[in-house]
Amino acid sequence: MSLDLDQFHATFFEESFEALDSMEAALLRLDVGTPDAETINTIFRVAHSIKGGAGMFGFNDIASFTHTLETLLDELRAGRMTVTVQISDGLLQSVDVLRAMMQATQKGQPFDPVNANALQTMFKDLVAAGSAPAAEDDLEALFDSLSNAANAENERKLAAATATPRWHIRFRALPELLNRGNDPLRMFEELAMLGTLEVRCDLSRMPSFDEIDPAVCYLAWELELETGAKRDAIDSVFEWAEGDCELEIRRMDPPAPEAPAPVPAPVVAASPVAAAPAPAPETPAPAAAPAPAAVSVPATPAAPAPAAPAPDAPRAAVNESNSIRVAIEKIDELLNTVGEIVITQSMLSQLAARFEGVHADRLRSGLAQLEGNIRELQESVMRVRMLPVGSVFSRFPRLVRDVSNRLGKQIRLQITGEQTELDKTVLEKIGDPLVHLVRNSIDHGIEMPDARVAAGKPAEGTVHLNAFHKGGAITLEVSDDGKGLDRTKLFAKAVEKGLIDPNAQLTDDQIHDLIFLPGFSTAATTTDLSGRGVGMDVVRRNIKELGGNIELKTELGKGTKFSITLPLTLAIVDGQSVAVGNETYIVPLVTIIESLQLKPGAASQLVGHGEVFSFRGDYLPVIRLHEMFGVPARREELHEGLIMVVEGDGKRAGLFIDELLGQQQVVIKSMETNYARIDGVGGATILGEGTVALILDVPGLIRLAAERQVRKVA
Amino acid sequence: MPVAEAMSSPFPLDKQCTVREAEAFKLVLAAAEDSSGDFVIDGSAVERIDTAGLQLLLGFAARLKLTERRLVWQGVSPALRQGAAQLGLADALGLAEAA
Amino acid sequence: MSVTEKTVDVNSPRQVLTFSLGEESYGIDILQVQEIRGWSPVTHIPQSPEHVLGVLNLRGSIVPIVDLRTRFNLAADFTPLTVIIVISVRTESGRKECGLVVDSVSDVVDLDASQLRPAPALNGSATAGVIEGLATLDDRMLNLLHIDDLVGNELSSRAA
Repeated sequence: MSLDLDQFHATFFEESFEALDSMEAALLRLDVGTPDAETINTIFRVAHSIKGGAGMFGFNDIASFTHTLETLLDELRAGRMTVTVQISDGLLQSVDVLRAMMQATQKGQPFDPVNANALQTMFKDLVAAGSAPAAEDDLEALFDSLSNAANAENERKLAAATATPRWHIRFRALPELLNRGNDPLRMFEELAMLGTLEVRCDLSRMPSFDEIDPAVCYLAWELELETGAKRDAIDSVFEWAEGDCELEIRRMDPPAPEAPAPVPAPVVAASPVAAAPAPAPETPAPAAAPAPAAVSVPATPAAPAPAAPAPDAPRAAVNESNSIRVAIEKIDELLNTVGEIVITQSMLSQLAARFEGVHADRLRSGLAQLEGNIRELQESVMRVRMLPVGSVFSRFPRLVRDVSNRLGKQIRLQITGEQTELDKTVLEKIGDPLVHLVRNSIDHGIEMPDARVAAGKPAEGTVHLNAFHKGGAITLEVSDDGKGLDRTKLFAKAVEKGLIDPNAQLTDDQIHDLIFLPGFSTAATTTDLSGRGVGMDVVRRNIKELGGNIELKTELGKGTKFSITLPLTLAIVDGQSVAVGNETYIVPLVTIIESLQLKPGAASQLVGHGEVFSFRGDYLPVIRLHEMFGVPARREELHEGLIMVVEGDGKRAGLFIDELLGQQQVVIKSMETNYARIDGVGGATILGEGTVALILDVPGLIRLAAERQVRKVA
Repeated sequence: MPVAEAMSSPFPLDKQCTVREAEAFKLVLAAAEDSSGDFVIDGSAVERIDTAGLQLLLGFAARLKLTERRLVWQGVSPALRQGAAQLGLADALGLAEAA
Repeated sequence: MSVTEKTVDVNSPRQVLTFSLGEESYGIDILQVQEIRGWSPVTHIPQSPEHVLGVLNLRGSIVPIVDLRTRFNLAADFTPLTVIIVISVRTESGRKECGLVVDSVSDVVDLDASQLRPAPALNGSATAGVIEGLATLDDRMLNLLHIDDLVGNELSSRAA
């Protein structure tokens, strides 16, 4: 049996990032004046959960930090401390710190603990000081907190006076225990932190040394734990091992009190490694199926300890929806297979077209029905990869709050259509462009409150994020009711930057489009928020790479709206088939500008650029595909074939092809499954006739051609 | 491995003796055994050890016992001592009397 | 980090598919053979080594096709008997499929470990390092190929 902790790490990080998101959302919801108990509980559970996992994997920094958080949150949820603005802000900052810590740990990079330490110190001081409300001068609150502290102290003394409960624990490891990243040693160390632990090991099932499987634990133990901790604290130590061990926890009658029992150590103990594994969400790592082994945890009468409510099922995930986690590779495999079915069906249809007779008719109608079924199946499976766009939108409330505060503006964020679904990969890549657009709106769009009032607008500006399906694609909108774009200024700026001719006659839309030109920025000074190196040109490029498009509408003084259209999935591309020699290649439609035929002599040689031709005032390089790909040419002269002007990564070129074939939707298959990545090739597809056609990677091809030119000159 | 009467030098344990290294650890232990007297082992370098590592030592000690040999410790790190104690294996590993 | 999955049980006979290239007989372990197909035109792949002819559609998978004659420095020669042996190879990045173009296939034979002799180390030969061993069958000499080594490297690294 081989062990790979990495997959468990991956799950831990994935789930922890999600947990942090829900913690952040809860914090934003939290009303400092009247905090909701359930919200505080949610936040507490997140910290507890992350602490547990981190401790288990030995991520001590994270465990220690979340332990401090947990301590503070425990005070808050028990009412021993009140939520203040300072605490709420500090907790929000903790989310950022934790995210950074996890990312660093995930990548194996060092992490600068300055912020973490500062926050930790602040929280520890706050907890130590009790519930002294920093900003609030509320005498009543002060008295409340003092009496709470006194009550808590009394409780502790009472607990100490009664004899400490003893628990008998039987633990036997099952074969998969170690393989799933559990370690009895660490579990017992945790138990020992709860009180006094005695351990007896049962070696009876140890095989001979040669027969030992190093990843299997053959041992069993009988433990006695003297602790004032509640039953669920003991349960949670073994939570991660559920299913991989035989476990029995029984409370024994407390012995006659002889010496004063030690004060039961609450979880606020010192060691950062003391991590009680926390309520873990549903399933473990995707590849591991939960072992069906028996776990016996006989319910004992709940400890009559002071007001210990039986905990709700610690396994209950925060989100109780009826869903399962699926590795994305499984879905891609499924999509792959469906794609192949589409191809097979099209092959069959082509064949069937050649037959005659009664049977042939029935065959053809059957196949037509099959085609409909398959198209439905294809759409269903593509939907599996789709997730609500709300998950990307959810990062914006925080962003808007932070940025508008920093700028001294009042901005309300409105979100609609968050249930609209989008392919997972597209979702992941659309985040950055959206952030840029929203920041732009806040920074350059929405005016300062007094400017708005002077213009007859409400002091509070609105930024609106919207998403909806239309015509087989998805549209995302980022709009604001700010000052809009000034055409005159745009034009002047473009002229100043030498991007357009001062006499150029441009339509309004064309002027607005200017902002997508590289190196363009309309702000008088670029603030550090949105001016730094990332321009609208990058945003447009990123969106184009996803097969989408971005447009804008603006009205001076009223506002601006950016509309992004995206395809529903990445696995399928609309392509133009072209013939080059005896080969067929597919050119993605989104990259094609225009196809044209050159006149003889239209192309010329330019030093350092090779063959070039003139197109809309620019000189574009000619890429002879048959040369690039080592395919015997059918035509040598440029004017005998066609030039297809394509664009990739902001650069344009003319592909020299023999002829245009048809247009169709093709399923992209990776070359790397069985072979390797090829420069200039973005995948392959299977045509209706069953032959393979390569799909061009236009940006890569243009880059490759440029490199070859350089090499020729060198 | 020289077949001498006593072990020429103690068998050193690595600083990591956890489930990750367990397969290799088992091979190394198996190869280290020779047919001389007590098996001297140096655990002073151990920084991280877990159930898998301790279990292998246990199995090894048990095998030695079959030929009337003992596991003798020359150097025990705090991590090793604590780990063994926590799992209730101090006696079985002969750590109780070890310095 | 190569992990060979098949346990070499020295005692049980292996089944080997034999085929010919020119005058020589070769064999590969039947466990790695997926199917045998007739020859069909392939789609050319740019920047590929000479012996990688291109790719074929194999029941929906894009499979590279290697001409073994070219690979072993024989002149390429396609006859009506030319077939493609589709094999499954273990590489660093997982299992990959690949097609080998050979002159013709013969039968499947049982090969006992005792019949296998180590191959002479002929450095510089095109077959260096890929012959697992030699066996004598009836009166022919069979070169047993170690397929993982043969095509594994070419399939998992970037195209030249």
